[in-house]
Amino acid sequence: MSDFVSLLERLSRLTTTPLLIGLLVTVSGMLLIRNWRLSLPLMIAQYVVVGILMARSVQPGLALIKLASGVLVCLALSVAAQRADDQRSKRGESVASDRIAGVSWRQIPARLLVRAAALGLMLTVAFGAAQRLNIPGVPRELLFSATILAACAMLLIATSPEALNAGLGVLMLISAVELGYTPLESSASVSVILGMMTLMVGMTIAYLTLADSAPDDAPVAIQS
Amino acid sequence: MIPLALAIVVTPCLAAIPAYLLRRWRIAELMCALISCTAVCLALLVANSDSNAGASSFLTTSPVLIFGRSLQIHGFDQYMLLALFASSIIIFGLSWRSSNGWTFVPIGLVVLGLLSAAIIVRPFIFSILLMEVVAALVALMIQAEHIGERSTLGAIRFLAVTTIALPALIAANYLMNQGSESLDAALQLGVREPASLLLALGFVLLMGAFPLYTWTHTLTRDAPPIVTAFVATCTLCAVPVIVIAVQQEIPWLQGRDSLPLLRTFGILSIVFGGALAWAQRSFARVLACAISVESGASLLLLQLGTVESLQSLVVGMMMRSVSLGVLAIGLDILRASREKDDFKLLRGAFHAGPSARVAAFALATGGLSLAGLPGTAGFLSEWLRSRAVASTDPELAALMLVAGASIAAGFLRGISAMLARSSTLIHVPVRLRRSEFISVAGVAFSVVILGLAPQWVLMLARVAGLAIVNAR
Repeated sequence: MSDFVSLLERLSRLTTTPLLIGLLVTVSGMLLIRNWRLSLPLMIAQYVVVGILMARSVQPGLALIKLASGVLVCLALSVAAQRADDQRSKRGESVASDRIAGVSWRQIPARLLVRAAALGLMLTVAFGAAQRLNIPGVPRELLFSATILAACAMLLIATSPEALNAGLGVLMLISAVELGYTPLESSASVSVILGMMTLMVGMTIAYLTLADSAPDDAPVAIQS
Repeated sequence: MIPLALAIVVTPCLAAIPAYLLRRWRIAELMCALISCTAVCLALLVANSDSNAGASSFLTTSPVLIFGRSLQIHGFDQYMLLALFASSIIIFGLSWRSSNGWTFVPIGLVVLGLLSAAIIVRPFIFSILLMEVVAALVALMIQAEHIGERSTLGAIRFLAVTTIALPALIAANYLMNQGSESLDAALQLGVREPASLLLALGFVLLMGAFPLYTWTHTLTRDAPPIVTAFVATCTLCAVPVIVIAVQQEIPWLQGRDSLPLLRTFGILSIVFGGALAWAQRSFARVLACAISVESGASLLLLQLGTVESLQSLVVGMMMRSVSLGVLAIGLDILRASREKDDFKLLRGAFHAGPSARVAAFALATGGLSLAGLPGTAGFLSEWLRSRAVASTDPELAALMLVAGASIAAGFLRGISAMLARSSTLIHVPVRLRRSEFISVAGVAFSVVILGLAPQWVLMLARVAGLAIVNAR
């Protein structure tokens, strides 16, 4: 564990620019491509970047809680998404891997353009908000990252009808809150509750992802 | 000596374990819930009588420190928790024959424990974080065991809206702390407006009262009816209590005009819910409008902050649980026979058999009680609420009465569709045992009986309202 902590501490000394670029790449990728085989690795990468950014202002051990809970959640979500895809493939529906292998170039540009335009709009809003906001005690790069994450999370929630993508939006919003708030309240109890919150929300999204994959609504049999 | 605060949080959480293990036996599972909630209610009553008499007991109301954070039951918390657990007893009791999935009782008990912790924990930031954990668990209850594409919309909407409230509340908490820690008078005054706006916005989102389509419609459509009743009763009970707790911590929030946004969104929710209720074409959608009106009314009462308004808030909690519980039983019987509760599909259902008749009776009494019809349990809360609001804003009281009439019209349209003769009648396959038939009818009658003899609820409400105002 101490190796991880020292690694996180060393990574937190990196310059801000590559971390912010990494964050922008992950949020853009998740917003533009709605395929869990790409979204979940991007989400793990995002948790790593968020963990490193947090380690710049709080103890690396506390930042590691965030990183570990985030990675655990992504692993649970990938298991749920794989099981959901197995059910779909049994019914002969297209699954995530098929959609990557056989990209339909005729349909994608229109969707991509709309999403890219919305992303551009939200990033502009986030940049504007980050310029105006000034919270004493919160480093500028953390505030900037938090606003980007929050804006993109809102967009992801608003534009995703399915549980997995909307759930990833919810998790991104929680990351944004943690980035903005943890430097102000760096106590262990807050970090533990925030980690627990990420895990609970992650487990709920995994359950909903499985429920979302079935063909029809099948209510529980009445017990009478 | 057992700390009361700890006992209240831990008891329902511990009861969730046997409830989960016994989930195949509905009665045993429900007994776990009922016994634990009754034990908590008794503990709250015993602690109250002991503190009044000055006697010592095995329960102590002194604060408990967990991870350096204080859990303590204040005077007003005690009454609100009592109302919360009493409402839960009613909801759990009424769920004995509903199809709620395995998640309802075990997760419902954990939710109750966490809601109690959110109410009594200080500082306020922990209440916010616990509400997010509660939202994650409630999403599981909403989903229950339903599966299918787009069936998760209600659960995910509830979770997303609660999460969106999180940044607003955390920012408000930060600003309030800045104001209280600073010696600069200008800064203290400067943070008040943004903090109160963010606080009100966060609470409005948590209450689902934002008029533009939050989680109310998706919840009533996707969740089992008794889960809707649980969420609309228990979760919506906890949020006003947290608002009151925050107001007690921050002196400048105690004024009547400290949270003006609560009033604005309260009125908007009542107007939207009332304007749309009569025109809805399914019971679930009328119920969603009724929940919007209830949330809006709660926000208005919170903003008023008088003894009468807080009393009517407590009565509203209790009566809502009864009305919603009875309504949920009726909806559940109907949904067991037809997947949807659209009025068009239910045309002539009343003539399909005794189970449909008892469902129609439960829907009529529950729905009209929720609308506040005289002679039902809901009338008491409607009357107290109107009286509390009319003393300052008679127009608003009239608006609430009109919204209630609109909800009643919505439910009556559904009932009249059920009563109509239809040539394309689908037989209702749900068969109720004689004992179930009598129980459902008895519970529906209790709505009327409670409406005619509401003294015990009024007594609790009077004491709770005074305790809250005295604590200020």
